[in-house]
Amino acid sequence: MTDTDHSNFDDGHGADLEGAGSKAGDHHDFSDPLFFFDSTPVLGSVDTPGRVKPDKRFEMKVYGRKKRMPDGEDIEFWGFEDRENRANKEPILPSSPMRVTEGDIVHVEIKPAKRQHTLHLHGIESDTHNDGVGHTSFEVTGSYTYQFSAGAPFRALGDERPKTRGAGTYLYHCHVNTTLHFQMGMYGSLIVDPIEGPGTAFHNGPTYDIAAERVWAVGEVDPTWRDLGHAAGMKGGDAGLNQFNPVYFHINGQFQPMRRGKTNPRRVISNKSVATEGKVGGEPILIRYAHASYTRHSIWFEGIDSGKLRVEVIASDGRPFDGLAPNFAQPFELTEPLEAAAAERYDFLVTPLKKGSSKATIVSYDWITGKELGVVKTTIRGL
Amino acid sequence: MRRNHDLLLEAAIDRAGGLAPVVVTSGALAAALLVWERWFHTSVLGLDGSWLGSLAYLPLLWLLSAGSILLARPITDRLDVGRRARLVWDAIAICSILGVAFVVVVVVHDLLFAPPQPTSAPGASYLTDEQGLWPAVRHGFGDSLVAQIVLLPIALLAGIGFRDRTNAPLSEASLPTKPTRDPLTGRHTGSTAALLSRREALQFGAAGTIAAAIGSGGLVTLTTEKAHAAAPVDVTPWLSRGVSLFINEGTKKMIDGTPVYMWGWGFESEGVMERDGLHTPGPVIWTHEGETVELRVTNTLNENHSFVINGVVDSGIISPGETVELQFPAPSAGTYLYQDALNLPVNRVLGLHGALLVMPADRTMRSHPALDLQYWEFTSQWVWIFNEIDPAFNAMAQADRTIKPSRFTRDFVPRYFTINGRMGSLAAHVETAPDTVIEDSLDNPALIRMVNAGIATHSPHMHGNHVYVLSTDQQLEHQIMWKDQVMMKPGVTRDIFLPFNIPPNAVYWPPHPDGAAFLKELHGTDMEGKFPMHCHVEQSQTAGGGLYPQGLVTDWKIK
Repeated sequence: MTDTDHSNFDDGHGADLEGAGSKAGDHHDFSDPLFFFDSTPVLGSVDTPGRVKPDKRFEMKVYGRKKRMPDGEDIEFWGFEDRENRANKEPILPSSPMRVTEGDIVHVEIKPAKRQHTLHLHGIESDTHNDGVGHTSFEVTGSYTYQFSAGAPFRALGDERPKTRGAGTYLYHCHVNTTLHFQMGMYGSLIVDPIEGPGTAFHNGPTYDIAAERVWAVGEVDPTWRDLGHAAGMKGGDAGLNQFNPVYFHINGQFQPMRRGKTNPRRVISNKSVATEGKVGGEPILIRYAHASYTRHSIWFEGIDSGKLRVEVIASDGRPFDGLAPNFAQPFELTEPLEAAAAERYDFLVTPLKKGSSKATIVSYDWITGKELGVVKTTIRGL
Repeated sequence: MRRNHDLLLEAAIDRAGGLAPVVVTSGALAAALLVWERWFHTSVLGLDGSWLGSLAYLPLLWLLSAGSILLARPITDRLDVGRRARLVWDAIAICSILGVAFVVVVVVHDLLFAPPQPTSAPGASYLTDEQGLWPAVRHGFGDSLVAQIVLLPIALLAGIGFRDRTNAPLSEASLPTKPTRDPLTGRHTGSTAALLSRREALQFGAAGTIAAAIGSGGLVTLTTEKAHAAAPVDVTPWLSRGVSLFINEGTKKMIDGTPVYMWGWGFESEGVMERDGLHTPGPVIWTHEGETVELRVTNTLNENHSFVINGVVDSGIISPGETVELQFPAPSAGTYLYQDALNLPVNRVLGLHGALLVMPADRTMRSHPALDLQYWEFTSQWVWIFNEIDPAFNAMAQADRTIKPSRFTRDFVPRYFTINGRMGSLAAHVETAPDTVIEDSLDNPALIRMVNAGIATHSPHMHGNHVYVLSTDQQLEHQIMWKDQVMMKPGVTRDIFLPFNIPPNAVYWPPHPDGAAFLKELHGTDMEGKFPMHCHVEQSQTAGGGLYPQGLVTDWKIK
């Protein structure tokens, strides 16, 4: 390892890292705090090994833009955006969604534009080369196309067995200096539909109303982390990344209204990308909840108390409760608040039982003190 | 009873590359020395003597040669030189030690039996017909120097033959490529249940660091560690019978070099001991349902401590210097957290915690007797204990200041995050974390017993395979979920089942050869099939406020 390798990871803006790379030598000193850093190759553009024709293709560029918070502050966000969202002036929070069908061969190309990033398809389990983790593979400055097959289990190309147990909700994100990059907004939803297509939760599973379906990526923002550089703390020194003190709370980038610098629990997020409605006696609503932050969440639907809603948990982490071996998991009805930790996903099948709207509440708790940090609220309406 | 010097001898043999290379090399050296000296004395110097008489020295010379090798290797391991230079230094060190030993042999021989005889042969002027010590020494040194002509090439050749295969870095060398599994625990004896004896390492300081590996069945093997690696391999031992624990104090080095005062555990069990050790977490204590656990816990510190397993055993206060004997029937199958429950959670988080695991009475390889063996039989089992460190509180403990739990919880700012006591790169490589990093072939499921001994809620995320969450705090889950995230609240134990399946979304398996070759070239080692496990509460991926990803992370690998 030479000193020049360290300069690959430049936290100055616009540093050209094209083609830079470092190799782990014969001498592995794991106790060197820069070991992962030194042994993580930073490459320009890399070819996808064994590239085949994809069924679905996404092209993700990296952006950095500011967004106005409910208290008037302008805060920077980073994220991935696909072709359709390039015209945006606002950050896309969460990043551009991806939607594929079980059995699809999927290509996701990232174009980080100079500073290195990766795209880890959290919950999608491909080979190490396509896993998007720097210290086991490489980080990208030019472009790389991640290749995977949606659905599970799956053994090899040419294997024709049905791929029917991987439908569900996934959360892709950047896996470079993840503590910072994830929190800056570099995450988005990846939905895998069963072979029946959208409208069915999983193979042989319950159906739902496509128009009422929502992804709820629930996140928090600590403004003090916004001024840190791309590689903050990577070369040593205290960047404060061990302390997360969120101020702003959001679902899908729709921020919970604030009052006197704190979230205002009396208000709700009414934006239609979050709030939803369904007919009593009609198809149920599918809520795909994803924990997109670093706290402990507690999720509750007040409509259960008032008899307006019936809520079933039907899947978690992209694995349906389909009653199959070996775990024979069955959907269960929600009767008490569900707790979720960082990056967990739960799919809720919500059936409106009575007309009228009711609140859904997600409370964030500090990971050490257990203190309530903030809350996000939205509504589900029965028609 | 296995004593320390047995361990030291085994360690030295292991360091020299194993018993067979030592026997063969030393035999060759002894034979060459004998033949050469005999030939030199009769043919060159023109002296007479009987071959039979010389042959009588063979066993002695063999022993001396073996001793030279055992002494030389640890010395040369301390040299920070390249592979080839190390071979030369090996040979020089072995021949020097053997040469000096040979001088002693000659001197004793001369004094006991016959004085050296003068000869007219050129170059043999060191021989006189005088008697006494000095002529004998001159005789010895002369013969010894002449002998180096044959000894050095043999030592060098033996080094080339054995050293690379046997004394390369820890991973390839001393860990068996096909580890044998303990039939009761499923652990890989010799690799995963390895144990470094700190005391032995210190005693053998001049010889580098020695790691003694203890198989969970009590079988002792030894592994060596690269002498220049800055941190020793401090492996959590798995102990079963006759366990004594010692509550100790000391300083541990964080991955960024910061020294932090901690409380930890020493131990003694079945002749293996490290009474003044500083293990955090403490040794894994394992047993079966229906058996009786006997423990002795000694508090060597100057404040009160305790040993508690919730709902199972409570030692009460253990005063400074006191030893308590605990005897209790093994509780129902599962994973238990043992801790010093005084001042909860302060004493636990400052280092006084570990795991007790109880396996089903029927000796099956499952975590709970109610689990269907058809689905939940594991091949190997592991304990992952999570913790975090705020050095400010450790400093308070060092200064004997009282830490109020309420203040601890309120003001705790974790700066280091550990899995089995290690951070980041030290926790993510089998060379430095053989008790944490899981390497196995496909369809060999691993049972991972996760324990959160810390104060923060963690969210371990598994790459490569989803895991099945079997139980929480010994209770089987009502609903076994198939997860890639597992919530771990403070003080909780959860057993998860890693199926070691083909990563389900891989387009190719085995991975495409181009990709595998590319990664191998990039990293200088085989990377395909290697996947991280890390906590997704990403603050836990830092050390000292940055240095991503030097926190709660490890790797697992499909071989």
